[in-house]
Amino acid sequence: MSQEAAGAGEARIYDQGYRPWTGPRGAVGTRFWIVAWHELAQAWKNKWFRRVVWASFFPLGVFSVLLIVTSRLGGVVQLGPADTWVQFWGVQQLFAMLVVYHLGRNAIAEDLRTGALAVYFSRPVSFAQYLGGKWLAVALGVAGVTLAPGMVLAVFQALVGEQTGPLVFLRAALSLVVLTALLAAVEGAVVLAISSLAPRGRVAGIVWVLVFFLSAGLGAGLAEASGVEALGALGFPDAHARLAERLFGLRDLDVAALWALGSHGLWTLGALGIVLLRLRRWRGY
Amino acid sequence: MNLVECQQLEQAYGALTVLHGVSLVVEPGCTGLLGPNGAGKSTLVRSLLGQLPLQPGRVRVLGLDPAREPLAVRQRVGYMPESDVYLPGMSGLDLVAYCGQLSGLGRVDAVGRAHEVLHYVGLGEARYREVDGYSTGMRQRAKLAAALVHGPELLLLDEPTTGLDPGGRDAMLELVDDVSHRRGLSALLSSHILQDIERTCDRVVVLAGGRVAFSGPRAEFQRREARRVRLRVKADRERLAEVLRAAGCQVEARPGAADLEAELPEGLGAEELWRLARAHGLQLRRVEPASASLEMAYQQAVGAARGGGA
Amino acid sequence: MGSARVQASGLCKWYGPVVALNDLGFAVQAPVVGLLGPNGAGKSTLLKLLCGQLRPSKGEVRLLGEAPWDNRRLMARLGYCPEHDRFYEDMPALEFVALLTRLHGFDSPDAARLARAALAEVELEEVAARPIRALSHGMRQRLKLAQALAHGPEALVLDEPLSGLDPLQRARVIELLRRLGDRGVSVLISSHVLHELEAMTDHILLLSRGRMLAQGAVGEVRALIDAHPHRIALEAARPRELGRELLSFEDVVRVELEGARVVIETRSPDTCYERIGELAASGAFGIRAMLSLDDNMEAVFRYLVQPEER
Repeated sequence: MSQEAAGAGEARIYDQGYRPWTGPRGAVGTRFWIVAWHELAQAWKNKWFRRVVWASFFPLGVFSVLLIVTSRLGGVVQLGPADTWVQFWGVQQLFAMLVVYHLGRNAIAEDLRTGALAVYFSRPVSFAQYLGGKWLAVALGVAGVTLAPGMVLAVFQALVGEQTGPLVFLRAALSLVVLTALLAAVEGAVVLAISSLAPRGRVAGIVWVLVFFLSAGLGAGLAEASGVEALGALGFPDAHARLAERLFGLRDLDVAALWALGSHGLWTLGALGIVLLRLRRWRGY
Repeated sequence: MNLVECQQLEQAYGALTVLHGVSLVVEPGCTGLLGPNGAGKSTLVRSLLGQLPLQPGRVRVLGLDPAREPLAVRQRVGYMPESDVYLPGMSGLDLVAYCGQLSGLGRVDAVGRAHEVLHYVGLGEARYREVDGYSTGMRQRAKLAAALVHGPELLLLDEPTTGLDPGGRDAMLELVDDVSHRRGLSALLSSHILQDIERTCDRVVVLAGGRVAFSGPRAEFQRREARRVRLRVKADRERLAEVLRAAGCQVEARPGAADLEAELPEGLGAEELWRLARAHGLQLRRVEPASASLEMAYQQAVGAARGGGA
Repeated sequence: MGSARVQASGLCKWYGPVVALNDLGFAVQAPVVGLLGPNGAGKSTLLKLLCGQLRPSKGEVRLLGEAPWDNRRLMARLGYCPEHDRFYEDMPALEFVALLTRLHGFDSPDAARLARAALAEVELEEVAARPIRALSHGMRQRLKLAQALAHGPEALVLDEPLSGLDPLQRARVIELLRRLGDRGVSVLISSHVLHELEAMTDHILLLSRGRMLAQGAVGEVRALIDAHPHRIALEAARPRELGRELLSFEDVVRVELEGARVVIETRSPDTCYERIGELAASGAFGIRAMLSLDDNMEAVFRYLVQPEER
């Protein structure tokens, strides 16, 4: 600013008050991304959540080695790559359970406690977007600790395993995607159902962990007691493990797979029903 | 253009009809929404936001039909709820920015806008603290900021001064007045506190028993009665009452109140009134034409509509 | 300090290192007293001390001549209407009030009779049999009042008794409280809504940051505030000439013109009112109306309470 300009009658006092918004506005209908992102960002603030996510990549190293060992020395060790995959998936399950704990427990419980739904639904967010966003957050979290390391492992296998090539990768990737989708659907629905019933997030979290382990134990216990194998699929962790066995090629696709799939479906729909019932007041919004 | 138009709006919860054919118009400026508890005010607001099932064609908000496009309506309307609602675990700034995003602003835009409106409502450093720790006054301001962040054309306010101390109430009403008259927005203010309505609103809609009991300019609602005055005297109120009665006035002196109201007869003007007081050694401290107070007008309107008590 | 109904002397209360009330001293004679102050001033603490729920850390407080702490006899003569609402949701309203009345020592038939009478006073007889969860917010508020009144207390302590009530209900409760004051009951009301408090009483206790700022009749307190000259608004046919004339008075320190309105500030209101009376009686300026702008609770509050830092 040159000195000559001073005194040229250009003085202004700037309005400190409210100004209307003339900028762009997003199209209605994309809000579930924002809801999901918000849940993820909130969870990310928690240092334990971050640690769980980082830690979930550690087993990758171990399993990479195991994969080579089992694929090259399969005959000696009496284990195949399929075993490795199943075990890997089993380990990642635990991380997934912890991620779901962080992302899902507060999702609806805290909103109900603070009346946040009134805030959401006085804005251009529909009920479907709200619920979808919360579910998506859990799904993305689950994918982050199961699908992501899994894909890395699949690439690794395709490069250095016994059988290499894109087809190997694709087969593994397909199984991973299907399993992740099912896992995210089931665990997302169940944790949201628990969150919608709990008085606060912390309670929901504890109940989620209990439900996870109890349902696992329940299925196994019933199967043993009654001798009916299919009952083992009653708990969703077990059902998921069975599906993993089949999709990674450890066992053939059989009736048990159907039971497992059915179990997934029932848990998902049941949980969804609970959420819809609990939030029926806002459904039309 | 009218911001809101309702034509025979009906709402029922199951078998209970809450709104019986409400027809009203909200013009630019600040409009007060009055009514006894249970008269249907919150149902009306919810209908405007498209939160309740609605017959198409009955309501238009900013030219849109909330029955068909509720989300589009909410994009352009700001709502400040009465109850203490917020999102857990966020600072004031995060909350308002998130609300901006939910209303369609991009992330960067939303944060910038959030700072702007938080500055406007007077939340300074407090915006970086968690909302859980805010006082009532701060929460109300944060709610107002969240309602303004996306630049709505219509602001719906539900009891904005609840729980505020007199200083806070003053500040809040100042904001409402400013934003609805000088900033290009309009507001619909639902409140029980008649003084709030008096301070900020140009028009009034009275709902009673699910029907519109009155809709029009506030001045019309509170008619001034030319010959009625409210008087206060330094001492000896009874003596003034006597003197006035002797001069032909009808005097109403409620026990416990400091003022009295008098209906002046023809021929007794303001000047005579003063002279009369001086002649009897009475020092007048207040001489004010008594407009039917908002309270009385409200009572009449509601009584006439046989408003259901809560 | 003899016949004061509510009094305190050197009253202090702290919670650990935090001081809620610091060296309070007051004596109230008036039947109905308003307790005002910004949020956080210590009003709830004072109310709890008066109701015997807390014990003073230092100093003393007396209600009807006795110290409330651990004083069951006094508690039986006291009715308390708290701010929050927590009830046995499934209990019918009448049963609830009767239960609380029995706790004061009445036997069942008496309690039921008193409960019914109390519900009638607050106009809740029609819903006496309904469970509390089915009552609206306004009804719950009145239920709280009923339980405070039922046992015929000599003193009432009310925390925000009018919140949630619509204007008609407010007017009725104000009427009820005034009647009670006339009947000899000591009523202490804590409220933020000053103009409603003004409809009930002239006497205030003004608290801020744990200290007593002022007590007494509003008019008298106002007269004591020297720092702020009195503001008087006048409406006249010839405002500019009137303004010029008023400037010639020594006590007038400021004159503002707003259309037909002249607003002046004066350091001695008494002389000023006298002179205005003369001018008005002379008819020279066509003075139509006169009003004191700050001889009210709102002004006293504003002048004495320093705004909080945010």
